[in-house]
Amino acid sequence: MKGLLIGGATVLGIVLGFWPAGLMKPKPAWWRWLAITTLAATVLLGLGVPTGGDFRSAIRTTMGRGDAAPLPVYASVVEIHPDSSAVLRDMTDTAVTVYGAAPIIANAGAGKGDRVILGISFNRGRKVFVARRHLFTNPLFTLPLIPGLEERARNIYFHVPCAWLVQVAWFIACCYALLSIRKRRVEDDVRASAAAALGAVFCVLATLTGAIWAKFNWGEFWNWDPRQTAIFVVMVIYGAYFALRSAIQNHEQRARVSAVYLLLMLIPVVFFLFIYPRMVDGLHPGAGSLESQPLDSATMRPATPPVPGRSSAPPSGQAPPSGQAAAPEKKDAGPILSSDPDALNPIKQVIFSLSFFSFSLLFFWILNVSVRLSLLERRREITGAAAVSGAPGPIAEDIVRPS
Amino acid sequence: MGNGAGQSKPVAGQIVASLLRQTLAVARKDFQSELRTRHALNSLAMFVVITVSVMAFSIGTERITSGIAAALIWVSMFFTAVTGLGRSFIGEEERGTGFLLRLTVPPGPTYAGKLLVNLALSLASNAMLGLMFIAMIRGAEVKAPGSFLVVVLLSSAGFAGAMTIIAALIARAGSKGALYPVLSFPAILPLIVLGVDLLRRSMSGIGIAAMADDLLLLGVYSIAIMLAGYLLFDLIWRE
Repeated sequence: MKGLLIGGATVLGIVLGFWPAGLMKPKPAWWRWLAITTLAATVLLGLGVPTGGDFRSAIRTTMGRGDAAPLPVYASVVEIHPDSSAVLRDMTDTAVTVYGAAPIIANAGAGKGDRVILGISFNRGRKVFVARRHLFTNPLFTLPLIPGLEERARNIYFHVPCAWLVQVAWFIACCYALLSIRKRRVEDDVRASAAAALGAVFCVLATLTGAIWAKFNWGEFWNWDPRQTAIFVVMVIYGAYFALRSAIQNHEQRARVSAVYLLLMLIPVVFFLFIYPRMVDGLHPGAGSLESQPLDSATMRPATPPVPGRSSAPPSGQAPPSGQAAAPEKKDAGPILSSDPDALNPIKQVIFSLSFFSFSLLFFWILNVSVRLSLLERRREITGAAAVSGAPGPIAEDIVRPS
Repeated sequence: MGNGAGQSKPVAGQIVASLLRQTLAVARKDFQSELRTRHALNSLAMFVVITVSVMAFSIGTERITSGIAAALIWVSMFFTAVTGLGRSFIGEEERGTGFLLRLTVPPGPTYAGKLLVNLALSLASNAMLGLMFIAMIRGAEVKAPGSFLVVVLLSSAGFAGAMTIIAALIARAGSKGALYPVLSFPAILPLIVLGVDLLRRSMSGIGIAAMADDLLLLGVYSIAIMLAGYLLFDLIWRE
């Protein structure tokens, strides 16, 4: 079910990217509205659906952070005591007396029988739960809380589609590069370079969203994790590709040489995407070299912290602030690719699929506009030259084809 | 070969032999024209000497670890390759002899011949670099010379493979020399990632058998980039 949903959304996003009108004609109005609404829905749901955990995760999370750190706990109000405490029952059916909860619940206009999300911290000295603030009353949906990730888990809806689209862009650019070598059409070169340019943009977006996430979960903006290395290499290749393009004046020569360069770079990219992550331990979920170590059962982390890159490199900076890393539950796959259906909550699956779909549409929309823009510029270049030489400026479609 | 087409169908062995002959002819031509002036050889050798001297003077009497020595050797190897290996095709374009080469030899043997020359150049410069490092820099000791040699050999092959095809690209881009390191860096990076660690391990005394997997990977990558270069060379060499 999960695979069907996410895979279907991914395929549908790419099919819809090409199918009505392709990359060279304007997209129809319904298509644009679909892109806008799904993007808005992704942002709204991705940022808006509240996160609510249970009391056990509140205990676990306060362990590394001191008593004052509140954690969102999703629970229904069972009883309200006159001494300002309240009995709450969380989703695992654990009923707990929470001190200071009654006025907070009353202020929010909620009462007995309502489901609330409260910021609750666990006082380890007195072994009691203390309510800090009200976050939500009767939410329609909630996302489960992942200890160690918490609200940062929302980044998955933005970071992962960006990283995925880098690969889509790379694939499209290589396909059109091959076509432009075979058929020697200007359009193919324009499409290849537009896809590469957009790939570079999404590369930057994926790196930025990833770096921010890495700072707050792994302690450093940049750790030379194998996937970070891969995205760095792809970025360097895009940079070199455009440097090469700008160095050649002749259009046909430029198309051929840059296409060959892109195809040649498939080999290092394949190395960094498929071989290198299996050679060294990484921090991303699903990372693990062939000789990966068993997990420490208490913390669900490798017994010794993974060190990306060379084995002689120092561990990544200071310890992560939360005292726990992203907690890769399964060493063989991340939550997305894991075969375990419980690895990703159903609501998360829906939002994640929606984000893949809407980001694909956004990508293809921008790609479509930039391809048409560069074709227009190419045409203006030719007609401008024709006007200077005194010939009537032809506006025919095939003016953009090579002679 | 073109003149064989009119006669009876050439046997596969004959075709291979003629391709091999053409490859060697291209390589011999490059060697001979090089030996006439010794321009590239001299400048490459001087580059190696200067690079190692700069390193030696910068490090001074400090004793460096084998990890840092391996990293420094790799930095020097990269820039030596960028300096020296581009000559093969850029020289052809500068002298205007590329046109003649295109007329007389098919693309495959041209590429293979240039690859051979670059292989020899990169092997010679990397070997010289390694020896000078060991001689001039304190701490750059090689405890397992056999595996050190194999690593240098395989990395030189990878350098030659990546640099030859990129030199051909640069030659088509109007000999923009500054582009050479930029374009070749992504193709060299897998070599660096694998090679620095291998070199460090060989310097700290680990034998060939203990790092056979990574050596194999280094070799496979070198062959893959050579083959990709061979397949793609046709497309940029033709007018």
